[in-house]
Amino acid sequence: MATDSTMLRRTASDPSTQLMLRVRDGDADAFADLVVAWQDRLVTLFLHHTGDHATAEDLTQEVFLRVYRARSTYQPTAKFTTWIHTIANNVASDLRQRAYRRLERGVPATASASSSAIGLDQLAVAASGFLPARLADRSELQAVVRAAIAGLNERQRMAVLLAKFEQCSYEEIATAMGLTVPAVKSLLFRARDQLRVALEPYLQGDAS
Amino acid sequence: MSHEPSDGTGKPADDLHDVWEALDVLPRAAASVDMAATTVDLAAVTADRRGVGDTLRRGMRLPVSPRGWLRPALAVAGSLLVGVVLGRVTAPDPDRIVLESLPLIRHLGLLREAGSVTFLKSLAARRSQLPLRQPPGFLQDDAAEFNAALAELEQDHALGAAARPHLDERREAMAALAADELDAIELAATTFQDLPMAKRGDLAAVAAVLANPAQDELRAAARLWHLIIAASDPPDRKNIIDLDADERLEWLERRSRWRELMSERRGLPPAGEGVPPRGPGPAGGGGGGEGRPRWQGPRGERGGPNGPPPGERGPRGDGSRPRPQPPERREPPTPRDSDAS
Repeated sequence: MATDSTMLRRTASDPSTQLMLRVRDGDADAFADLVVAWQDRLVTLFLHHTGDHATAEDLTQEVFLRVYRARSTYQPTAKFTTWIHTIANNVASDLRQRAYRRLERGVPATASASSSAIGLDQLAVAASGFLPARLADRSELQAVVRAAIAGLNERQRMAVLLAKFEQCSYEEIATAMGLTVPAVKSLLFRARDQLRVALEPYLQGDAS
Repeated sequence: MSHEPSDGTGKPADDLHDVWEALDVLPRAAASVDMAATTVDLAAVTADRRGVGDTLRRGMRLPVSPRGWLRPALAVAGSLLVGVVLGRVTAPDPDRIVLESLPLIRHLGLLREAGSVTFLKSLAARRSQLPLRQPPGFLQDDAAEFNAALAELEQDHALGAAARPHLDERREAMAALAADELDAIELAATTFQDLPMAKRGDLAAVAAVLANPAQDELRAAARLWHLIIAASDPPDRKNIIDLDADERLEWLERRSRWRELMSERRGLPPAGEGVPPRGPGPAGGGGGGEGRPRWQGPRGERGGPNGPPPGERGPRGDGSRPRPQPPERREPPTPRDSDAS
């Protein structure tokens, strides 16, 4: 449990925490500011998680709705960043569970809700055997990297994205995903290994 | 973008370095220009509705003594029985009610969109501060359509008031309608009959105002409101129309404030001209259902009055962005004390 002094320091130093406290106190403009401050980051996170921009925006809105609904109970006992990442991870998990339920009911999952969220066209590009020498185009490399990330499982993907795009520490990732720090390290190690296998030919070609 | 995760002491994790640089090719994404405004609106509307729900749920949890409920329950049951018997004896012919209200039912979509005379007066009073005072090009068809609907309403109302056609004539006229027109009127009639009496009175007053050419200001206000709705996203329209007068004005005000804020921050066009306002989004997933025999609502909404069932999303993949229905089963997590140590 954070001490009062820890909370005070956190509140004073973190602009998002200050905004959230104003939201808690009923300041509607603060919520708007919070949305503006965070929406691009969350859309980026969910875009690379699902591979679909519209779904990413939907999920981002869902995160903000949950933040708004929980505003009255908000206490700055953790960094706001960690809190919102926790919500984002929960929203992503819900999406996955909804996709599973749809599959159980025999309803075809949408591309954005499927477990392998990146589009088939991108996977086809990645698997088409084009040589590393052809990787002159950045967009082609993007397709390869997207396909490689799509090959990770959901938790690996979220951990990688939180680390890469949100610059979270192991501890912050662990908190957001409800895991232990060793579990996160193991998750990221396996993810890195899988990414390395997928990207190795292209990275070598790129380097040569 | 070469940051790597670190442990609690900030020590870099070297084992991720070899693939980390490759991830830099992935671009940073940007949210749509109007996403923030939509999110803020959606949060406000969701919170309002949730508040009502909470109140209702609290009301349902009122403690009731096990011994104390029997007598009131018997009294209620007796009252219901008496009511049913009296209702059967005295209830007027349902067809008669429909036929008497036919002018309102035929224009139900137009009238519900306008809402109430109170709202139209408030809108007229602040019309100069609102966007879309002159319809931009892409709304010209909507403006023309509204004018046509108004003319029809005017004609029907004049006939209803002056000629007072006999109900049998209306019945015969309805019998001559095509099946789909009859279905639409039947649907609208059901919706109309489900409305509270006060709301029906409001709609009758709106019809009288809109059908009266002397009420220029209020008719112009209704036209402006129609254009504002037509400029909003189709999935949002029903929810905007469902707002009451105060909520509509609040939505307009919030929208204007937000547009000003965004125009300052992102260089958007200033509030109004040609900028489609966004609505609060279908918090219930759509679920429309009013019939629109004459008035099919703003363009782009057509294709079926019924939305997806409550709790379900609308269909995806048409380019528009359905708003998420917040799952109720799990509350947002409480902050965790991740870095207190």
